[in-house]
Amino acid sequence: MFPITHSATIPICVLAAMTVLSGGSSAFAAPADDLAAIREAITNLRQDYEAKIKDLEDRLQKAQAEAEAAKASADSAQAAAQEAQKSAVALAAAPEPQAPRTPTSNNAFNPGIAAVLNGFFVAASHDPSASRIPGFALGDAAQGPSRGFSLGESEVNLTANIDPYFLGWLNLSFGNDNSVGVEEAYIQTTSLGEGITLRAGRMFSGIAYLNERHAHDWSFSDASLPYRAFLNGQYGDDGVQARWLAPTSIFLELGAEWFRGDSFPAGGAADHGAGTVTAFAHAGDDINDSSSWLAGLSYLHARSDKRDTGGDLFSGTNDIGIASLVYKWAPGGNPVVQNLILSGEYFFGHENGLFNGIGVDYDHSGWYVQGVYQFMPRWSFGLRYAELEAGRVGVALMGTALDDLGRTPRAETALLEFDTSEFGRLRLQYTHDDSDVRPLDQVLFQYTVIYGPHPAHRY
Amino acid sequence: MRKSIIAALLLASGAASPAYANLNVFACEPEWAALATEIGGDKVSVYSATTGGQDPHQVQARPSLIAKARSADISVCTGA
Repeated sequence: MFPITHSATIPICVLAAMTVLSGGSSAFAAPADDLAAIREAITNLRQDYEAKIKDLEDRLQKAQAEAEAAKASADSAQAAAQEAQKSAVALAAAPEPQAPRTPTSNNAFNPGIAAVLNGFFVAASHDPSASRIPGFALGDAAQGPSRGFSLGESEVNLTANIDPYFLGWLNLSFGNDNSVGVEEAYIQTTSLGEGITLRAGRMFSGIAYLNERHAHDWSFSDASLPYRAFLNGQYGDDGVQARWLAPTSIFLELGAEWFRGDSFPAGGAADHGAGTVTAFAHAGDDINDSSSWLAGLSYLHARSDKRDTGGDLFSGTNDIGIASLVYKWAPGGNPVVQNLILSGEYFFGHENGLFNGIGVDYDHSGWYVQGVYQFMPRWSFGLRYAELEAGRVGVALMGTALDDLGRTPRAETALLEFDTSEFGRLRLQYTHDDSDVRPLDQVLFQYTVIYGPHPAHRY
Repeated sequence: MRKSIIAALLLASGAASPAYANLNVFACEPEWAALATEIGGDKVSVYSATTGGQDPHQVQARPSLIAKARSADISVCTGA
């Protein structure tokens, strides 16, 4: 802007001085003709210069106007830039929106679809479905697979993030008898923040360590004695669940559930279909790069209204407490080559009510410990020991399912596993079950394959 | 997405005043942890969910990993 003004001003001054000088020259004496000619020339010159000056002034004004306009537009552009910068800073300061927790890759197909196929061949010293656990009233799923060839439970999972707020999970299981069951069907919040997750629908309870895992995710082919006796293998029901992950440096999770109370150890959907409540706490941490632990305390309170277990009716309350401890080791935290998983759980139960119309009030307990060692890639070896202690009941209940026959039910299990890959698995499992009067020896072959997307590997 | 995460990290680490605690960065892989440390310097506390000796796909949701993810201000991940 300044250079324009200067270059325009200087010629004007020069011209003005020249004009003055030329005007002053008329004072010299000269012949009249010459004088007239000179005057005319000067007039012409003056007019010429004046025209030129006028032209220059016009151009100057035009240039100045343009400069003003340029400045104004530059100012407004600067203001806009400042505004944009402000909003960018505000944007950066705003809290980061929480991403859905399920990996989006699961939605490559929407919904993510996965299938689990399972098959058994069982050789047993006598029919396993006929054997009982004396002193315990068992649910309908407490026994393992039947003798000979059988299709285990086949599963189909459908899962997706429904919107930024909900995740949906549907798990259909196809039983040996061509029946289709809804094993799990729930919605779960994904973005409440503050470590809170809510879930509603049909689900496996978060109590204990293994309960929430699907059977194909267990370390052994079947459930241990305490799970079979106390939770009918696995406890799931219709209801709601709340979990809170504490903002602590070690892992600490608290949870509570409220269920319909229509599945073992409850039955009959007492209290107008809201008869079972649970609470659980899990804590865990790393010991070093290679090893870590997880501990849990769980409590379940169930109310039954004419719960039917093989014709026996029970009405009353059932309280179960479970303590769990898991230790995992893998060199350098890499479980692919070698790893060891040790776990144990203790169950304590109290039942109070009417069993076939006869008053009962007794305690029972059970525990198991197990270890699975992957000694080289793909190959694992496992051992499990489980024991139960039935409650003492009166003479009136002798000969019923609650009569423990003076026995301490126990079972030893050994396992050899070969993984074809992360998705395929072959198992050979031997069990000596000393629960019933007649011990059961059982050899079990199992294949399990999983295909389709899967969520993060569970601990 | 990755660029936006890194940009957000830059802005957030630059804006962090001494009155606040360090920005907790949760990196899924050690490469991202190294980058976050390089960018954030002493203004960030970086946790790497995996080490170079692990197969990132086979990593389990260990209790400590869940606790760290819970307290993270920002996650820098690929392939999780």
